[in-house]
Amino acid sequence: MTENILEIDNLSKDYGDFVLDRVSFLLPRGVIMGLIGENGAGKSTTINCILNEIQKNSGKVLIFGKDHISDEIEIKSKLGVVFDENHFPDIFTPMEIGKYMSGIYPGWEWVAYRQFLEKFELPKDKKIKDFSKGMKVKLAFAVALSHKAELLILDEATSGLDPIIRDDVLDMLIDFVQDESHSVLVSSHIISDLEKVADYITFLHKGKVIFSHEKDDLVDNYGIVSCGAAIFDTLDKTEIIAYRKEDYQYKVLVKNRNKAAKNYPKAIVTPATIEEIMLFYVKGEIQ
Amino acid sequence: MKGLLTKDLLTIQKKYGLKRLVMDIAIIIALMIVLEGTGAIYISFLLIPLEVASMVISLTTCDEQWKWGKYSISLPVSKTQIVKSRYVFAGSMALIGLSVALLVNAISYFCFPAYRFGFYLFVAIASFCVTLIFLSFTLPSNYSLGVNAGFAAMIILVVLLVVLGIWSKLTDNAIMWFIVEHFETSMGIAFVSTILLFALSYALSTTFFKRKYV
Repeated sequence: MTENILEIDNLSKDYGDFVLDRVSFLLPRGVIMGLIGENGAGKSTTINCILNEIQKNSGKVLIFGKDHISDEIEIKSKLGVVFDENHFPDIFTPMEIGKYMSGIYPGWEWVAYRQFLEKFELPKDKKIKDFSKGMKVKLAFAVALSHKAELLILDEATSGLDPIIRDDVLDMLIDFVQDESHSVLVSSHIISDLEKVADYITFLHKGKVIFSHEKDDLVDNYGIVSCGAAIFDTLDKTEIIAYRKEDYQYKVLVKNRNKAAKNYPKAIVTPATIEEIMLFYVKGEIQ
Repeated sequence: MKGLLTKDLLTIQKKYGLKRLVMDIAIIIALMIVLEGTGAIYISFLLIPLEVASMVISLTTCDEQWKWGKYSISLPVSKTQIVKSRYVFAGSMALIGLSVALLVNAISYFCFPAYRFGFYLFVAIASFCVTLIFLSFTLPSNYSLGVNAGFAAMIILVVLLVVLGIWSKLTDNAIMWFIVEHFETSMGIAFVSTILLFALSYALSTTFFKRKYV
């Protein structure tokens, strides 16, 4: 068994007006990775390339240590995918979905599927068109988890859900990675959710990977220095990642907040949230 | 592929259902009673091919509505298998259409024996070929330009078929001279050509489907 469940190396896709530019990151087994970035940053393009829904221009994608194109069928039989909208025939019932999915996935487990339907309180014989959005997402999870999937890929799957359903979804993800051979790649706009569950954060901006780090490393070390112009001028520019000038002060994102607090005792140094880090990269001025 | 076929079958069952089946049988019986001997010809050349083609178009409409294409690519089936399963399903529907045509023509022969039995048999086989021709044009149109293109292709084929029928009637089958003079050869050529056309259509559809996801 390979240590990394997903390896992406220099993945590129050129649309002319948008370029996914040499994206690289590793997803180890047993972890949840959050893929973040603004709209159009390249999150869905990356996921579509991984799933071979679109053809990459260059780069390497290994899933379970195997090439995602030459071993596509074998890989996809161990992959669970949940998109942001319902793709199941809405005139079907969950049991009918199970009937044809059992003919598609070689590892389909009816017992597990029925258990998930019960756990998620989904009526087995009700048409999907009568389901709420939350129920549809739960059904997608039931399908994704009922064929011995080892890697879950979620593309904005929680967008538009209320906080209670989102919390249920996050619990499902945590349960899923209790088996340390499993991993989750989840792209989402809702950073607060990822802060709760993600072990790794990969940040994409304008088609490039800005960073791919352990979440704890980001949360424990990154900080925001709030200071006036006089202190800002004395800051070591090599330590500044990005800054924003506000009406009466500067806000500066630094990689090592403890060092900044020690070096600039007159400045106010606070921990940076993932959302703030993302905002600094996108909207701040980069050094 | 078994799962994909099951999905298509369940979709048709739910979309068409018992009501549609009863309606189709009623139309067939009505046409046979009203038109007597010629009823079988209209059923074989128009009703059956149209019904099969519209079923396949209906499947494409549902797929587009559910954005099934995007999801299906995340499943452990290749793009070729996705198209192949649709062709297998369409081909199976055409075979069911052939069975219906054989039944209708046999009943017509016994109830309204206007022609020899061989003629009714020929009409049933020709109906199968017309159905395959309909599918050969509608399926790639669906895959290249969407469901509306498939529907347009079906309408164009119906118009061409009607025009051909009227023209043939007006010229007292003069335009069919080759078929009349070389009946067995022309039937062989027509059957083989139809199968080849269906195979070519499959290759085209596969290319169009793969191109959609580049």
